Amino acid sequence: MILKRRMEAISERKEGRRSKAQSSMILMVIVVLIFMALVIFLLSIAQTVSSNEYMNMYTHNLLLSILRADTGSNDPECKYVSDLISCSFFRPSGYQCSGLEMTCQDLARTRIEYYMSKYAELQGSFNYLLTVTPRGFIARTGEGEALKIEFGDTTLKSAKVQKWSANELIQRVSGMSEYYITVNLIISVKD
Amino acid sequence: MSKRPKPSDGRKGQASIMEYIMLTFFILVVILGLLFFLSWWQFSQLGMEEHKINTEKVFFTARYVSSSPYFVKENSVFDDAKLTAAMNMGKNLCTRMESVFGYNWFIRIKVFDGDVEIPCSWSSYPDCNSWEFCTDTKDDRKSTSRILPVNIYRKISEQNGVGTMEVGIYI
Amino acid sequence: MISIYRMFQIIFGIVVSVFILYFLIQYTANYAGFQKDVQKIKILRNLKTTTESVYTYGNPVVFTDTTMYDFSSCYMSVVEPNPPEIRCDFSQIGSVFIPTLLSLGKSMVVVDSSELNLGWYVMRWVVVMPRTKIIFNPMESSPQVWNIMKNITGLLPATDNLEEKVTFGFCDGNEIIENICGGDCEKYGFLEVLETSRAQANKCTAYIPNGYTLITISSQCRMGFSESGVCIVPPSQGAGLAYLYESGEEFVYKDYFDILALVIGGSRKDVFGKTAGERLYSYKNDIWKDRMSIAAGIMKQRMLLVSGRYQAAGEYMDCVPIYMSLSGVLGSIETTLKGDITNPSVARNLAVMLSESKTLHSSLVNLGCEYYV
Repeated sequence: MILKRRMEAISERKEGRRSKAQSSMILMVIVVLIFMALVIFLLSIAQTVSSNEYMNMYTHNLLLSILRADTGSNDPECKYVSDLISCSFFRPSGYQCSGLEMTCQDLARTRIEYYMSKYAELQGSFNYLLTVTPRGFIARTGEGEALKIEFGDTTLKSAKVQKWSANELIQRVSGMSEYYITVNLIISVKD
Repeated sequence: MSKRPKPSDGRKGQASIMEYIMLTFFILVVILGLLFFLSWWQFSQLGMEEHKINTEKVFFTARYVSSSPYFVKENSVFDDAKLTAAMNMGKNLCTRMESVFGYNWFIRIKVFDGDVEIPCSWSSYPDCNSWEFCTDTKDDRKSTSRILPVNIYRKISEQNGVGTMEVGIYI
Repeated sequence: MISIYRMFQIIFGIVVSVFILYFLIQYTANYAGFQKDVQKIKILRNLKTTTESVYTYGNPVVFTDTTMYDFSSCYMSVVEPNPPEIRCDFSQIGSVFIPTLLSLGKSMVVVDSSELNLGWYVMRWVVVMPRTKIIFNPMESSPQVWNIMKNITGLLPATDNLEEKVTFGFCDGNEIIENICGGDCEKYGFLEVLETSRAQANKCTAYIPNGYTLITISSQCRMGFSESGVCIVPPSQGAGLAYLYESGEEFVYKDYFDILALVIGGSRKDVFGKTAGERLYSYKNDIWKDRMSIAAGIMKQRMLLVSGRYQAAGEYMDCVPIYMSLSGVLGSIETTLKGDITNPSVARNLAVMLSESKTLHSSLVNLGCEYYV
């Protein structure tokens, strides 16, 4: 009886020691896994920081390049893409650029789509959305609705993907007044 | 009278020594493992630092070149006549520009005009659409580069074209 | 007797602690007292990044990290064939490609950019200087003297929206006059004052405290004439002479950045007895010579290229002879730059040619053949 109790006590102690050793091993493995996860996390952050800076620079340069591009027209309302955008906002919707027989908005769309496709050929496809909104004033269509011009993928604004954006201001002087419109470009890399 | 050692005492002793040996072996393995890990960590840190430095150099060169009056009409609007004139100065220009832009940089500028790529030179200007500075002819030279959209002002036709600038560093 | 299991726990605990401590020591080393130099180098690297940003984007900023340590030993240096660097008694930061006129101490500094515009080329400089009161002592009231003051003021930072200030005033005899703008006079306020009033002053004999820089303008300037700051002789034929207190040298200036280098560098001497102003002037001319030479070379080629194409196409024919003249002048500038530009006659020659190039370029712009950079 005593021997049985002694044997049981020894076996319990052994069990206790074994489970202590087992839990220590598990703890060690957990600690090592945590360190490895930390390292991987730090490495992945470093890559993201550098690629974000590049994409921000790229987006900003892309917007500027497109806005400053010549359209081929000598009409002062239509010389650069920024002029076309400004003309789409401030001129009647039927206004046509001389020599090209296209409205400002249509010509802007054609030019923007062309340049975006050229850049996409080089850098890989991306989705873009270029929106033009007035700053400090409201412009209305003939039907009385607030005027807002968009080129590209309109679903991009609310899409849950990684996006980069850039803004530029276009100034327009009309009579004695100055007006500003904001051009915003959002891009995201296509899967 | 001293107690005679039992055979099981010897086996217990051997088991105890074995435990110590296994413990030592395990500790050594853990220490070696950690040393390797630390060495790899240091090595990868150096690699990351080098990559970071090279990337920063590329970004700096991109910003500096695209605002340099040697090449541009205004920020990020290159003047094709200046680019062609600079190219005409040959490799000597790269050596002289080391004090301005640093070492081992290169740039390639191309215009999107729908045509075949024609390198610009004194004879082909203005009917050309690409420029290269300080590029190495050896194909196997490692480099890191970035492409950015830019404008190119065509002096003779007085039009702003759209194109790209590839800026890189040889590593 | 301690069990194997217990010993294993202890040893493993020591190994993991050493591992953790290794990372802690590595990352906190930068903030420990004995790693001061590492911190100083990081601050200088941040300053270098700030100058690059100001150079590219043009917005002035105040850099505050230089309050932590004394950087008064730092100066700009260029030793061929190495790229320019910032050298200090504790270390150096290499590859400082942005042309920078720098004066550091143990205080915040203003970082701003200014340019030298020749029409066909613009050379931008970044100015890094601490809070300073610039005190002018115009001993003559000629338009030339007023022009010097306007040009120097125009190149200094506008600190209206910044915490660190660069302010301006006059000295007349024994008196320092500072509150001319209804308070401290900053750049644009002082320029307005210069536009509206003109009167000569007596030689400044007032005590010039620390943080003040005296600029005397007089045809009587010579070595030892002024007891503080910079003494400027009005230019003749585009170039003139300047003297720096505590420096035994005569400095030739052909543009106002030469004077700015002396003003910003100042009279503080190093262990070799050379003033900081002298070192900065030397750096400025080395950089200017190098970059101007490249610019003149490229633009000379460009003028020939464009004029050739216009001539072939029969366009802008009025501009073709001007292009050829400008190309010739740029070629002469390129050749002259190979000589000693701190020699008075070479400097005068250069100043005349630079002025001529600017005039020719303006003619091209007026005819619609060129644009201002």
